[in-house]
Amino acid sequence: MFSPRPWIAPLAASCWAIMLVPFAAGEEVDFSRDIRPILSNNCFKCHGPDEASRQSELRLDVKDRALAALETEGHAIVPGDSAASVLYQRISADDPDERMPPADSGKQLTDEQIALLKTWIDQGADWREHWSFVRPERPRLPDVGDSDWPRNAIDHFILARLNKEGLRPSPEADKTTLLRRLTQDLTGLPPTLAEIDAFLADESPDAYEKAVDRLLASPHYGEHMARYWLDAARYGDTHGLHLDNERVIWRYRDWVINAFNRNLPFDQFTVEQLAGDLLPEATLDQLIATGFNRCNVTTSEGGSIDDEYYVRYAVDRVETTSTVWMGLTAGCAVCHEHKFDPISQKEFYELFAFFYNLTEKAMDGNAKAPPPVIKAPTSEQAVLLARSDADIAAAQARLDAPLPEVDAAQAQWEKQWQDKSVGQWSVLEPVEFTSTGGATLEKLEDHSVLAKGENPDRDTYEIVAHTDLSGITAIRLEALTHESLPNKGPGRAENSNFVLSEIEIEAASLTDPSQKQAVTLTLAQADYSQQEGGYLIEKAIDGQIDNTNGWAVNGDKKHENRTAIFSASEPIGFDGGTELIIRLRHQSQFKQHAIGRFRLAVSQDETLLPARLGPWHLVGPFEATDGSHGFETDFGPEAHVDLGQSFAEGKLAWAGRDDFVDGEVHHLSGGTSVTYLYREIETPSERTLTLALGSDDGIKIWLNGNVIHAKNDQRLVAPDTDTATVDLQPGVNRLLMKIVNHGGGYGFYFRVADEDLGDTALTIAPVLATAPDERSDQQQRALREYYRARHAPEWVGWKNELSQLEQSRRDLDAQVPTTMIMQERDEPRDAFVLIRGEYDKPGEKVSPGVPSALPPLPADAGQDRLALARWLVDPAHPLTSRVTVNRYWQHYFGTGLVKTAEDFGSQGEWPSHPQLLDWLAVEFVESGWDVKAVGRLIVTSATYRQSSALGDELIRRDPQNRLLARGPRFRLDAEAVRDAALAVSGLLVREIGGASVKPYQPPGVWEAVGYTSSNTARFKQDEGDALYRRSLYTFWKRTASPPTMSIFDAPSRESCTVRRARTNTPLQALVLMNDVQFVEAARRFGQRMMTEAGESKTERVVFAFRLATARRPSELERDAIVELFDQQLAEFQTDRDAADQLIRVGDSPPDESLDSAELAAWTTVASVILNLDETVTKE
Amino acid sequence: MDPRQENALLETRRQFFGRAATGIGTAALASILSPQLFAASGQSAAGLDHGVLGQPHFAPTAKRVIYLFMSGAPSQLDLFDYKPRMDEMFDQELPDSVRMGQRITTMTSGQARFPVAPSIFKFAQHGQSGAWLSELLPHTAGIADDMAIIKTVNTEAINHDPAITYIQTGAQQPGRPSLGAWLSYGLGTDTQELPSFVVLHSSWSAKRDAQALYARLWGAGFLPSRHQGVALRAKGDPVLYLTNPPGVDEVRRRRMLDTLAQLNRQRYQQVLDPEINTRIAQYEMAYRMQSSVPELTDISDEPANVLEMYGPDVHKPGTFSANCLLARRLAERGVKFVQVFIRGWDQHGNLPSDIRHQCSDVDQGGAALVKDLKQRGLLDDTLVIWGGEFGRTIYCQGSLTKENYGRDHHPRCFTVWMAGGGIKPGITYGQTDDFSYNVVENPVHIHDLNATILHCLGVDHERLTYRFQGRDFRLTDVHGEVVKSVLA
Repeated sequence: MFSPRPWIAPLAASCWAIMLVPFAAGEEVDFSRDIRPILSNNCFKCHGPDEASRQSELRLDVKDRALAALETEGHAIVPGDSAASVLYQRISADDPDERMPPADSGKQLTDEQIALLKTWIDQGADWREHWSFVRPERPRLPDVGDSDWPRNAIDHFILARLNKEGLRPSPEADKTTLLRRLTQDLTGLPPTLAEIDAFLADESPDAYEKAVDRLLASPHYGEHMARYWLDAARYGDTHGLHLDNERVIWRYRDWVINAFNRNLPFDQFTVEQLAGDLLPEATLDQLIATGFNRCNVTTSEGGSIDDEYYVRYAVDRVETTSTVWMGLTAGCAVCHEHKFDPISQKEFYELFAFFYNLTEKAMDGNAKAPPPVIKAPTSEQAVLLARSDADIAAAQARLDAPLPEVDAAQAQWEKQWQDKSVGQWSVLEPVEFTSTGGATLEKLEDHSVLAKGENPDRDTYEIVAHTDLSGITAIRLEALTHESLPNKGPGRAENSNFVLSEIEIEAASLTDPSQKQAVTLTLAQADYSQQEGGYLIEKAIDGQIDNTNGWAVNGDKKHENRTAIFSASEPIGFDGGTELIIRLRHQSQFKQHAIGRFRLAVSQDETLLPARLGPWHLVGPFEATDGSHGFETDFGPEAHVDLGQSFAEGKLAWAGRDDFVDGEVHHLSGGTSVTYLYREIETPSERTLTLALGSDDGIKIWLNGNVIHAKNDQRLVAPDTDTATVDLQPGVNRLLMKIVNHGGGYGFYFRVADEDLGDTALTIAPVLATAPDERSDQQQRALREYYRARHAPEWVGWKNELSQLEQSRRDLDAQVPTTMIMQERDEPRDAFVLIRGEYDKPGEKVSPGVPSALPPLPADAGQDRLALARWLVDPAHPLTSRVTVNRYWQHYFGTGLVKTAEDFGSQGEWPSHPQLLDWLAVEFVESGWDVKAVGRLIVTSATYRQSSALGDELIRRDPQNRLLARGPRFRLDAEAVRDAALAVSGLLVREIGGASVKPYQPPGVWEAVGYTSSNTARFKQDEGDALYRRSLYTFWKRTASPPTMSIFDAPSRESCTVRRARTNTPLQALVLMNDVQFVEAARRFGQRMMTEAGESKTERVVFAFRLATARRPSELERDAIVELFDQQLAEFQTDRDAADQLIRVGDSPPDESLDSAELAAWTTVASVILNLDETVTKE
Repeated sequence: MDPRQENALLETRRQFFGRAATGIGTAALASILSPQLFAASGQSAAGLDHGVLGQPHFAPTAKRVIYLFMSGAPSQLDLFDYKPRMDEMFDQELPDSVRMGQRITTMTSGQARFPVAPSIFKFAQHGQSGAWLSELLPHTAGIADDMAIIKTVNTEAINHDPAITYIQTGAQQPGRPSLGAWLSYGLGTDTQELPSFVVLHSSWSAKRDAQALYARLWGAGFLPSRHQGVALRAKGDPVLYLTNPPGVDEVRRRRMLDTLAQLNRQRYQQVLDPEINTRIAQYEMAYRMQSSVPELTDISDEPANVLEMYGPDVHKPGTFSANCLLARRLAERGVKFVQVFIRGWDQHGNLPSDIRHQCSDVDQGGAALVKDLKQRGLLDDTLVIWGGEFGRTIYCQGSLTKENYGRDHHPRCFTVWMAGGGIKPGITYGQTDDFSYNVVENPVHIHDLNATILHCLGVDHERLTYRFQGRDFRLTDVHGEVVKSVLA
């Protein structure tokens, strides 16, 4: 008969024996704890869930199949009879050909494992489902005799186990240790002296519980809890792949902080993050929460294939969701059936299907916020926005209110102007008017022409008129409404719209008809153009007469008079009279879209002439060391252009380039270099040009010496990639353009996209020409604003105030962060099993679903992420509550009850206290998923309150503290180490939330790895408060994470992490001793000792020691520190330079009133205290 | 070893460089670092950290690796894989029978044509072995008889980020340990002075827009973070935070450390946590690094003829040549894995001009490294590797002229050379088709390459595993065959 004793004994002496061999003499072998791990690790690969790799019919992961008769002979397992069990025969066989596992598997059973399997079979081969797949039930509390040690249920489980091991709990930690431990665990910060003193002074029996409640209510609680969650959510401030550009999703980070602070129940916390977008009438907050599954790394690498990345993103989301909520390593089933756990490959892709239906693009475009995104004002911003809107409304109302005196004067002015306007535009009297389509044209009294009768699909009107004027600069076309037209017009179409395909004009001398003038219309403006379909006024003079193109006016909706003005390139007309032939062509694909009534007029107003663009001049290429250098450097012409000047010792000079035609791409020569282009623009009146530009790569434009456009992109030249607006002054304007090449192709593109003459000519003149009672409200308003702007200074002031308000509204709006959210496609994307996980090898089609080994989706829940989220937090789910409370346990004790917090599957570690885990899981669910309550339960337990000191016996028997015969003692996490230094030095800025910040970082960390054109290739340190924010706000570049953080084991945040390593390395010592952040903290800490702690050295040392460790130093400790101080002071007094250097490390200025040698000596002392093991350790 | 026991050991060993108690030099420490204290946490009290394996699986042929990594993917067609018949094919369409519809990147998948761009560079045979090498590599030609040139390395990834992550970590997505981290985890360290895995970044002189590198390429993934590579920097502190702050000299630092150790020791006596002693030891180690690292990077003790061999760049810190010399100095000091990165090989356009610059950056230093190691007898047990993340296409990307062309990414074959450390010298292995498009004979997948590297170090790539998320992970995933033919 097998006896475990001979091998239990030696193992028990080694450090891990206690946890890994819970099976002691005489105890039942537990299938889940003892046997399944052996089978899983050694046998499932060939005799497990994966059909493809199964070597025979034998399966050892399912009871029925394991006990069934073998194909060959006998049974693998005969309960109660190991000798008859083929499994035992094969694993214990001497013949290497017989022996299982086979030699080539790389697996080998130990004698102990073989013995365990034998015992298990002999004890009846009891078989249970893997423990974590069975819904937890609340176990009864174990009997612990009459011990008064337990404070709550947790302690019963812990003590029962200790009793079994013959261990005793440690005494309660002293009050200071306890308060520091608690403050660190609940807020991630050390306690202040006031907090310590208050706690020590509070002798009431519930003093500790009061401290717990105070800390749970602290806003820093949410920050601290969020930090753990952000590791799991793989939150970062860059995309993580390839360019690793900045990503803006910090509103999600702040949502997490806030969720913990308002103690959002974990079920809602889950639903909102996984499926907030699918909740009915989702709030802004619920949408922000869905950022959880937008935190995965994304790419925009040139050459990438979209389909491949859609798959990768969805796989990441399944893996993360499975790890975080279920402790399942679903990722194993991407390529094949899971070898160990009951997740088939098909089931993996059923989970995958939940996440394969987003509107996101595969390529993130290297954008800060790749869609789907949402504008997410913070609560402060929301208040400011509302206030701003109200201010704007009030300012607008003031502008709109009557101003009796001004309004009376306006009426007077209108009358005068109307009289004058007749002289400005001379209405043409048509002498001939014909329709090629057969319509009947009729001249009305006001010299307008009305179309009637036949209504052809296409029509061209030709009008002949005579004028005595010469030097005509522009022609005006009014399209007018009329009772006889459909809905009054202005078009003849049934919907009352029109499309003017083109207007053409010819001029001839009336005295000598052989003298003709071709008229080119170069500038067109209208009081209104139809934006839909791009039916803009300039289409009427673009020379294209086809069925898709022209000027339209939304006549279907707006039955209003319209005015257009067309400027000629050269003045028109002959002395002695001119005959004008004007053709209005209507060739649109839309039938009968001709103008119903129109009137023509001409003007001699020179201000209506278009601006003239002179020829280009070029100088370059100037060689640059790189694109940024080129962009930033003035190679000569930027201050002043002198076309006679030469550069580069005469090698480069300005040259005319008449060959550069606007509206075409022009290539330039040169490598990484800069070229300047210059031209003059002459205009008769003030106006605005809109330029359409393209460049390879950077572009900068100056008008009259002022920069009006600058963009240092890396891109190919293409038409219309940028626009810039140019405000021209009357006369000659100077335009300088700089094109910067980063390397490779080089060129530019330039054209005038629009020329705006201002509102007088077009908007106001036609309104004034309209009788006051015929004007629309909009016209009246335009007129009033026009007048008041020129004649009511007070009103202009108000108007300026409004524009300032509007500007600050826009500025405010620009500050409102966007954040990335989840959004479903309308048309679901089909999901398939991917053969070997390859994106381009789809197999069977699948729909969203959950693994069959777990409870089914509720029948009426649907098949979307919302259903999945609700399923995860269904109380019947066996994993979610266990996995979650286990992570909380890990926060407080350093190790979870299940050490493999990320793996609750059959390869994960057996829980140290299975019943406690189940009890906590049930308690968590029944409390309403109350996160603070479960935290309170843990920290108020006697288990948690034990001293963490190790006795010899504990070092020997349980160095990892899995039995919890003492309190937790381990190094603080990276963030807590830095935050503590900031806090005790008084530097910490306690502001909650906001965009991520860039505190100190050694130069070159980003530069060494970054893609040259990445917007995170160069690190630019922030200044002021941003240097002293809590570490969870530190900007996290994922391909080069903050070194002070990663040196202390913070993850890169490239993938989901639920358990950090905890190392102890020389690099950590270097950070604490030498990083500017810690040196600055030390000198500020030293300064505090001098200014806040009294005059004596002893007082100062005690003050500092208590801030860092909460306790008072022993005499021995105090003396050692004072000795160091005295010695350092003497040295610094003889070496003032060194003292001055040391007290100036970091950005914050030293207190100049303090003696530099003394401050330097205290700085050294402070540095020692910040470097103490105890300071960076939770005791 | 039971993997769980392994974990227990790893997480309590807690020493970045695997230094054990005897590695601490000061007398003050000897008294407090009693071996028993480490025994309790599974720490060996004597000697160096030999990694989780304790000793190699079998006798290694290499004790260390210097990996010269050409980030961006050099063109095998212009450097190693001589295809004389391509001259006749200038500007002719790549036959469909060659391409066989293989996926290509979206940078060229829209091209109407795939015209053949023959290399404009001359090739010649070198050494006894008669290896074909391009005129771009005159110095490398001098070590032809030391190299095993593998022309048939291949991968599946077709873009830089996934491909470089794949060859460095065995997986295309982030999260796995890098090759150097696996070695540190498996074999520990041979040095008491320096990290066992060091990374060097080189400046480059061709085009400025170079592909990024990522900390994950030398990261520890899910292994304890002490196994991650430590970057030695050419500017500023060679190791981050190495230098004392202004106003603190070595004497002052020593004095401060003595008080610190005294206080930590007093705490230890109260709480008896062995972790405190480890921390004291790590501070001493940090102090020692403050002098050993500057010694390492100070090359004033190198003889003139050695410096000359590496060429003029060797005097400019951060150049590839300077880093090659530094790599040799690291190898001499027992650093197990040195990875020298140089970027700038991503030549989609203007390849002929850019590759000239790039080759002049790497040719002399790389060849000098091999010669230098050989002269010192170090080449026998130092494995030198030279290669990138994939190859480049025979067809032209962008416009093709007789003088100018570009090449897109090509994962289906590329060239890597290895030398020393048990590699068969003076051979060329594997054969590609006339277009250097498909492998004709002896394919070497990147998993095979990595398996072979581990093999040279005495490690069975299937047996160096780490249990994470319920699975035994390894560098070569579930693949990899050692390429026996390139072994001496």
